[in-house]
Order: sequence, then structure tokens, then C-alpha cells
Amino acid sequence: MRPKLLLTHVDSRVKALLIFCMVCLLGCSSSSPRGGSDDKIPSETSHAKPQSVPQDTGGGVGLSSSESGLGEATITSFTKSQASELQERENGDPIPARELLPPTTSLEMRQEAIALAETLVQGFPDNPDALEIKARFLMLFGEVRGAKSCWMEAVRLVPDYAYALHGLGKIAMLDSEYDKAIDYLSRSIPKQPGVAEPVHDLADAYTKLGRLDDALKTLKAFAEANAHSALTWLLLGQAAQTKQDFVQAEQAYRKALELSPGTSRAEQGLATVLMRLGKREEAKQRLEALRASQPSATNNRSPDQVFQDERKECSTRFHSVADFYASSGDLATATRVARRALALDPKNLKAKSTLSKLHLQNGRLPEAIALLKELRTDEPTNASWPFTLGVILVQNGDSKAAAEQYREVIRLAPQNPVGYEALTQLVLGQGNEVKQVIDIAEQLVALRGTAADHELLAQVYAITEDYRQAEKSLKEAIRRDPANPNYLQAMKQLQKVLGTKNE
Amino acid sequence: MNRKRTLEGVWLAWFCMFVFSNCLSSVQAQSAIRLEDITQTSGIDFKHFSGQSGENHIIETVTSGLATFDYDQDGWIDVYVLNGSPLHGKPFLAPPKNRLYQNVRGQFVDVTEQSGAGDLGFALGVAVGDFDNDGDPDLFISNFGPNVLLVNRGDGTFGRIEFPQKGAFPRVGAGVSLLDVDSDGNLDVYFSNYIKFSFEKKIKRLIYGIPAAPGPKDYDPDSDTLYRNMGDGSFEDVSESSGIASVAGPGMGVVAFDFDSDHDTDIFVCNDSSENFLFENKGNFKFEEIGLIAGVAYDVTGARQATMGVDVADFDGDGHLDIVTTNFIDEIPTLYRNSGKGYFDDIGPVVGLGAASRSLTWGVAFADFDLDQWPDLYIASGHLIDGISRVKDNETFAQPNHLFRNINGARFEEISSNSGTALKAIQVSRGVAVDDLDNDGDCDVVILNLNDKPQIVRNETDHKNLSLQVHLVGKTSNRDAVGAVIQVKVGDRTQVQEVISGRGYQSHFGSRMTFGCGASGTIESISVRWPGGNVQEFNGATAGERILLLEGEGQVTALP
Repeated sequence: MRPKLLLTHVDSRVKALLIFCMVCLLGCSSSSPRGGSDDKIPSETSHAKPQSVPQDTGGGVGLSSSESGLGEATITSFTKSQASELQERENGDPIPARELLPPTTSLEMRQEAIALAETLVQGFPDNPDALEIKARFLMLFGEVRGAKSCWMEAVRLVPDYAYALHGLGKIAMLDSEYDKAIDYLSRSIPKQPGVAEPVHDLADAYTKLGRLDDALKTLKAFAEANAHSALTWLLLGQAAQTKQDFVQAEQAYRKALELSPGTSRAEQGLATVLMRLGKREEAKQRLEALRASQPSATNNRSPDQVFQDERKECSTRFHSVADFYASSGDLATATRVARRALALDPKNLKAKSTLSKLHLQNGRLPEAIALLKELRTDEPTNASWPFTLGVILVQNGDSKAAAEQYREVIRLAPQNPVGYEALTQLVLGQGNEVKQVIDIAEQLVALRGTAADHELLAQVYAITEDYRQAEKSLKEAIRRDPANPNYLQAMKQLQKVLGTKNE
Repeated sequence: MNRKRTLEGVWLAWFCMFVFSNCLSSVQAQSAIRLEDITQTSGIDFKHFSGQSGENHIIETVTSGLATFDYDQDGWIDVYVLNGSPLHGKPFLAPPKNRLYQNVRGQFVDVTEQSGAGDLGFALGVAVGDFDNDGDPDLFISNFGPNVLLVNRGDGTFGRIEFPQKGAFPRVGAGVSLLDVDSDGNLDVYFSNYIKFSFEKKIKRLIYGIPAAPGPKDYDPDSDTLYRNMGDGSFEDVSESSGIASVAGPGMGVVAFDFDSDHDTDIFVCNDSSENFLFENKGNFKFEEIGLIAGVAYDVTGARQATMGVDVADFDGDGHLDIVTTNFIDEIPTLYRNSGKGYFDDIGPVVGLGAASRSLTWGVAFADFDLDQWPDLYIASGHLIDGISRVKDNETFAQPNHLFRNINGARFEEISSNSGTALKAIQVSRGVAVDDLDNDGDCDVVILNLNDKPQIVRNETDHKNLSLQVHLVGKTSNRDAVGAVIQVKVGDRTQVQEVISGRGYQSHFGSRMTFGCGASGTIESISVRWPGGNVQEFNGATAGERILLLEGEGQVTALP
């Protein structure tokens, strides 16, 4: 009985891409670019402020994270993939080095970023996502009015466009128009269930209007529905503290610290309310520990370091542009922009992942492989990288290397059936040393146990001539999917073989 | 037919009334408080100079404070404005200097040259107090470089004494406060210090190509200085032994007051982008820094703010002095409500101060502008970066100032846009001083603007309310009665104020205290707790008066 490989009728590149996307669940973060995962509370110098506001605004003399020094033309060393891209020929022409070199000053970066955003919107004038991306760029560079226009236009096109409503809410907050902010944010939240940031902003708007009960209600509802959100619990604590409900504040701060131990703002808040509740000793202990652990207020970041941080922020936005072009089918532009995102921040893993996907789609397997190998090094515990690498290596005909990757997947994600399935299928497809994967296939069944899994195990037993076990497994498959004609056919064949054996 | 026409007429009339009343309500009602700009006719022709080196030094952006006080004791409040000076060898034919303007019945005359008060230092902060108890208020000025004491000789002139500086680099002085730490009758002096600055440490900052000055975090913070007044004309540096120098922060505004009502004076220091300090007076010339535990180090979210200016008042009428501070853009001015139990709670977000968060705020002053017995709030604004609007289109260099009316001690309402001509000005403001410049019983305002003329603002609120203005003179206490706490009961409301030297943004004002008395104006009682704890009751004061209260003597003396 010859094993049947899945999806043999599908184009191999598409197959690779489909599997790539599917198994991103293996280990990729589930965070959206905007909502983000706020399981942990941001660091001390990264307050929960609107995205447009420079973090750690600090000084009485205006030192913000968007400031930059003169920015020396520091060229970081190319990654291997970048080096290979330099040598690669695309349509016969080498990739221009300027696509791989980062901007040398923040002014240059700003100009490039704004131009990119303008081109995007010009190409997709009635697309609210394009407008949203442009708005985010403009907010990054302080062009608040421009961002507002973009979001207003997006809302005109799609009245319940959540991101734009959220953005308009943020701008209203900046303008101290809190009633307006509440309106926008209230409309945005139902369209982004489970996303914390607009909820936090709404609570902030209520607080600034003195509507503490509304702020508390908003935060409490979200915290109870999203109990993992440490930041929500922290903000709930602060709102309760402002209302002088110190009992509720204490509970909320403790919950925040449970989820994100050592967070200074939660520690400080808890100590403050403990003082109000008369628990002075614990309060003092916590404050002393907090003081000892406080980072220095002095900022010795060089202008170059400031510029590096700006580039990282900008890279995130470039990546969202690349994503946009990719989903619109313009792979060439998507690839170019993804390269720029990576040039701005070589550690932007999302950009790297997107670029590797684009290489796959363009049939540039060596480049995709090089990037995936880098991603493996960048995130050694993320199983999706070796998995995707395995799939591509199979396409490239390197089964041995592919098998190594699948084994790595199993090692990294032993509770996920995908690695077991992939390895089993690979070995079955080779037809050699199938005995090695008996236990792998058995583990697959133990983990997941679908009809297809049982059928796969049956194949393994059959090839290793353990027909009784094969029959047993196939029966399980049929029991789960009784109408499957392939299984029934396979059973007939197996029973014939068993009959011959008996004779 | 007639009936139909009548009905139509009624409907039409009703409709017109409806529309008309809506139009009326949509026209913004004029606020009760009116502040009018009288700069052009005031006689003050000063123009501030920040150094303007062209090199964007941090110290150029944080100048300066100012003082209002009666230097010649003629019953009219005079104005002393601070100035920068040329930095780092820049030549100047006529060096800028601080200037003193004498108030001649509401008109100001420049008396700088004849008074000798025109100090040439790079001045940042000032406080006023009679350090030698000779009856004449002296000036303490913090500079970039040696701090200076201008001794008022009582004849319209000042002598100059320099405080020696320790260390190899010139210190950047900031806020100044005078207080009688040990209640020995002599005013001691506290200088907050900003950062360890030197011209040799070259830091260039750009915001997307626009040059900007570096921030406080680019430098190490400096500890503050406390001088003990030895009573013989000399001062001793007790910064180390007192515990003041045990911590360091980028100090700016400072205010000394008795936060815990234990009859001694404590010190609150604004630190720029760092935790604020609250030094609790432990007696024996010792202080302990308790800002964190007292709840004033950070705002309610636990954030370090760019705290610049500070003032205190009992804004909610509970008998305890509360603290308000000014901060950066997108930071609400912080209002720390004094619980009376040794700690404060930040309630700025819920009392309506959010409107000021769109400005970068500096000078701040509590004052009962409409004399309704509730202290209102004046906040001065102005950005740091010239050209900021080229980078952030929702921010401007020049910004409007803010006026918040206190609504029965529960919250504040911003009334800037409809409170007279003064608040329509868009300027780059820094220090603010509030005092009765025209002796009409209510508080006027002087604002120092960066590299520009100051704004002189007359309070022309058309109200029927009265005030009581109180001037205290100590006998066993320091002569200015700095540290004395006054309670004035008008009707069923008791107001509390403390005599403070040095407040706001590195400024001085309010030596003559103004208590709003509302319309009825019956003063039930006046109680003064003198520095050191002695309490004295005074009777016989009438609303609408300016009075003198002398320590140890029970009568109220009405002043002309």
C-alpha cells in the first residue's frame, strides 16, 4: 500500500506558503501590530501613553525619544541574507545597495517614511487601511493634523473603522477634548474585542473628565474578561486609588504584580495605598525595595542610540506597509519595502518573516532559507521557523535536512502534533527507514488522534509489515470517518493482504 | 381664518424665541474674572534675555523667575525681574541685568541703576525675606554661578554679597526659599540646584532635524544647598549635616511650608524628570527626604514628571495646604491633595486641570481672583523649542496661559478664553507672580516671558466681593513671619494660608496675603500660629481692609 501524500495536487509554493501560515500558530506571537500583548507591563520609562507621544518625555527641556543626534553614517554589517541579496540578480539587475542601507539621519528617515506613506495612499486612495498606515506614520513624526485628516477620511469611507476611530480618539486626548475622545473610543472598542489599548485610553478620558466611576467600570470589565492583562489591572489600581477606593486599588495592584512581578509603578501604587490603609510597615518595605531598584534618572543615551530607537519604531511601520502591499498582490513593492524595514532594524523579526514569505512566493527559495535560518538563530525557541524551513527544504529536495528540522520542531513543541505529522509524512514519502517513525506516528495519534492521524499510522504499520496493527489503526480511522472511501478502499486492500498472509 | 392666523402667529413667535434663546446660549458667557493686559501703560519696559548663545544650552531654556514685593515699604508692591547674561564669552556692549521697578501708585518706574539691584549674574530664581530683621526685605538670587544676596539698606539701595561656591564647576541655581528651619527668628535659605552643567560637555540634540537643547537627563543631577543664618550677618552651609545633600535631583521650583502641621517648616522641591523631594523637618536642623512615602515623588500613575513650578494653598477648604505643580506637555498639572495624615494624593486628573496638559507649563500661582473665598489657579505656559511646530504640528513655541476658577473647592473650571484680554496673548512664559499691584484689594499678575517683555495684568473683575489683606510682622519670630499660618474665618468658611518666601516657578510673591471675603464679608475671627507654635487670636478686622498684625500684640492695625 503506497502512502498518499497530502495536497499533492496543489502547487508546491502555495503549499509551502499555506503550511507556513498555518503553523505560525506553533510559536509566533498572537499579537496584532496594534493591540499587542500586554501580559507584561511596559518598562518604567515606557508609560502607557498614546502612540504618538514620545515615550519618556522627560526633561524640562524637551528630551523626547523622537530626538536624534546628528547621526553618523554608521553602516551595520550585513546579515548573510542581505549579503546574498546583494549578489542576487533580480530580473538581471542587482538589488541596489540603497535598498539595503539604512538612512543616516532622522531627517532623511522622516522624508523617506513620509514619501512611502504618500505613495501608498496615492496608489490606494479609497482604502482605509492605507490611510490608517499613513496616519500612523504622520503621528510618529508629530504631524498630528495630517494624521487626523487621514483618519477622518478613513472613517468617512468606513464609518466604523476601528483603528481610525481609535486614532481620532488619541488626537482628541492630545487636544484635551475628552468628550470627543470618549465618543471615538467608545465606537472603536466593540470593533476590537480583546484589544487593551483603546480601553485604557477610554478609561483615561473618563478620568480626565472626572468620571471615575465610568473609568473604573470600563477597566474592571476588561480586566475580568482578560485576566492576563497586567497593565489593565495596574490602571484599574490607579483609577481606584484616584477615587480613594484603596481596598479595590490594593486588590488590583496585587493582581498586576502577580502577573508582572516587580513592576515599579505597581509597587509604588501598592505601597501608596497600603499607607492609606494603615499597613505602614509593608508599605515602607516595598518603597525601600523600590527605591533600591529604581533606574537612574540620568539618560546617557548618545544621539546615535536615540536614532537607533527611532529607526526601530519606523521599521515597524515600514513592515505594515510591506504587509499591505503583499496582501494587495504587489509582491515586488512589498519585497522592496520589507527590505527597507529590515534595513532600518535588522532585528525586526516580523519584517524578516514577511520577507522570507515573499521570497517563497517569488520562488526564491535560497533567500527564504537564509532568512529562516537567521530567524531560527534570532528565536531559537520558536518552532515555526524550523518547521517552515523543513517544508522549504523538502521542496528543495533536501529531505535529510528537512527531517532534522522537523525533529527540531518536535523538540521545541512536543505537545504540538504538527511536527510529528510532518516528519511522518516526509519519511513515508521517502519510503526509507520507516520503522524510525513508528513511535513518532504513535505520538501523533496520542496527541491528536484524528481519522487522518490513524490512517497515517496505519500506513506506517503497513509499510513495516505489521498488518495487524495497520488494520487496527485503519479501523480507528474508519470509526472516526466511516464514509471516507479512501479508508474503506485501503481496508479492503489490507484485508486482502491479511487473507493472503493467513493462507 | 383669524383663529388660524393667530395660531400661526403663536407658533412663529414660539419658534423665533426658541431659535433666539439657543443663539444666546451658544454665545459664550463672560466669566466672572477679568484679567486685562496693561503692559503698554504700566511703565515696565524690560526685555528678558536668556543668554541666546546660539548653542542651545539647557540653561538658556529655563530662565527665569521674578519677584513682587514692597522693597521700599511704601505700601505699593514693586516688581523685580530676573535676567540672563551673555554666556561663555559672548561679548555684549550693554550687559543685560536684573531690573527693579518701583510701583508709584500703580505706575512703574525703573529704579535699577539708583538702587544697585541690577545684578549681572545669569539669574534663575529669587526669593525675598528680611534676613537681618532690620525691617527691609532683602533679595536672594540663584544664578548660574555664585548665588547672590542683595541686602536692602532701607534707603532705596542694595548692597551685594556673594555666596561662595564649592566645587570646580559653577552650579546652576534654580528655586530659592527662605525659611526659619529652627525657629530661632532668623531666616535660613534653601537653594535648589538643577544639574551639573559645563560648557565642555557638548550635547547636540535634534528633533527630526530641528536643533533642540539637551534635557536634564543628559546631565548628572546636583544636590541642593541649605544655608543656616547665623544671626550675625553670616551664613553657614549645612547641606551635608542637615541631610539635604544626601539626595540629588534636577531641582527647579521649591516651596517651604508646614505640610504636616507640626509647627515647623518642611521643604518641597520640584525635580525635573525625576522624583520630587519632600524634606520633612525633623528638628535640630535635620531633614529626612520622604517624597516617595508621602505620595509626592510621582504622579498617580507612578510617572516621573517634568516638574517645574509649585505653589501651595488650601484649595478644598479642609484646613490643609495642598500642592500644585506644573509639568511638561501631555502631563496634567499635578494637584497633590493634602490628606492631613502625612501624605498626599494626586487628584489632578479628576479636578479639571486636564485642559492645561496641552501646554508646557511653568509658573503657577494660587490666588482668589474673584474673592469668593476659593483660591483660583493661574498657570503660565511656553515651549522649550523654538520651531517645534515644524516638527509637531499640534505644538507651538508660544502658548496661551491658563486660568482655572475654583468651584467651591471641588474642582477647577478653565475660563481662559473668556476672562479678559490678558489670556488671549500667546507668549513663551516662565515665571509668574501674583500680588495686588494697584491696591484695589484683589490680585494682579506679572508674567515673565522668555526673551521678551513681561506681561503686566490688572485684575478688573467686576465683583461686589471684598477682601482682607494681611501683613504679618514677627517680633520673636523672624520679622517677615515666614512660616506663620493664618486662619481667617469669614462667615462659616475658614481659610488657611501660610507666609511663604519663594514659590511658583523660581519666583516670589504674596508676602501680603489676600483673603477673599465674598459679598457678606463678616470676619468672624483671625488666628495666627507664629513660627515656633505660638498661637494668637485677633479681632476687629473688617472686610475691605488691609491690616497689620504684630506678633505679641492683640490689636489689628488698619493700613492705609
